[in-house]
Amino acid sequence: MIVKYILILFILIPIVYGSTIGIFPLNETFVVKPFKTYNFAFYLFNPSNQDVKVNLYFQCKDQNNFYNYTEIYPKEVFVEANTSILNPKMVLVKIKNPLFIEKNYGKIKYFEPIFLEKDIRCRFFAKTEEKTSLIVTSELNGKIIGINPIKITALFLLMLFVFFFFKVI
Amino acid sequence: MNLNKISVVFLIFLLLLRTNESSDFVAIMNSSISSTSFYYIQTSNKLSDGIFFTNSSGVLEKKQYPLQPGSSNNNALWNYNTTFNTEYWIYAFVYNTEISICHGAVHHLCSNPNCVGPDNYIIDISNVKWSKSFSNDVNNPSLQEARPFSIGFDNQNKIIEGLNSEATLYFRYWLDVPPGSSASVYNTTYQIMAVVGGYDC
Repeated sequence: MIVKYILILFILIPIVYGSTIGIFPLNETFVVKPFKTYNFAFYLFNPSNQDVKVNLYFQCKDQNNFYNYTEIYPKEVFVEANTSILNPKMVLVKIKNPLFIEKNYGKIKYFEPIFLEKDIRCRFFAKTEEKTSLIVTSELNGKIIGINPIKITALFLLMLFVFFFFKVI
Repeated sequence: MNLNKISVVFLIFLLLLRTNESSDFVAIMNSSISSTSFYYIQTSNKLSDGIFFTNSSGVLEKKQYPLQPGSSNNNALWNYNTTFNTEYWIYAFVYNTEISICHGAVHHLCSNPNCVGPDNYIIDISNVKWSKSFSNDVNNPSLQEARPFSIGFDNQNKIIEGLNSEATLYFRYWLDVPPGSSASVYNTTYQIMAVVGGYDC
């Protein structure tokens, strides 16, 4: 009887830890159509018995450059103690597709259209504020759909055809 | 009549451009619910508090003392507790996925915050060494297997790669103080990062 009691105590009493942070989902994909916004939620949890404050970052890159048309909300969060995957804290991210991306040529700003598809790799970071920072991350990779020159040309030709067809009639 | 024709053509054009609009919210719901992979990381109290180096007396007294220039293998304060175990550890719980864990310093050890100013003294970060082990006793983690730190997350010397179950990793840290180092308090920022398997930190 005493042995059982001790065992139960061991299971139920959480041990105090420095900082703890958990994350899901981990490796998702997305597709963003022109002028659309892709909304996605990451979830953080903290199975220890101490609340933890984390700063949140969301960073996207194409092959060489940062893709800045993203948002994250909130930017910092308290993840309460004793939370699990069943009652996590939600963090929202947005990836926008404006179809035209702002670029700089020296001091001159201009807008470059996205053609076909642009592969984007995004990473979500949740970083604790202790002296030794603990960072958990998750990946979100996908495509930004751009202008398809063949499709546009075909549509234009079709439009012309329909226009002249009506004109003849 | 002519206006009507143009309207019809424009309408057809719009219909052709129309795409499937319903994907955004479906995506967010599906991805959230269907996800069955997760991980969490815990760091020990002493690791969260930061790593402070001391001399041979200080490591027994658990007190930080100034270090002598030219001295080597100065222990971090909690490399050895009263039972000669290290108090620096991380615990990872991984479910249905693989993760890699890296660590690194943001900059060299500097006497001024952010390493700026003409009176800033620097100790190269390679003078700090670390060692890891799955076991925790007087010999493990060992100084013999220690590796120097580098700036940023060291993808060549990850703490662990392809971890797919739960594990506790124990650490010890040492500092060599180069000869001729100026008397000062030196700091850097130490970070530990977990990434989904296959990706660099």
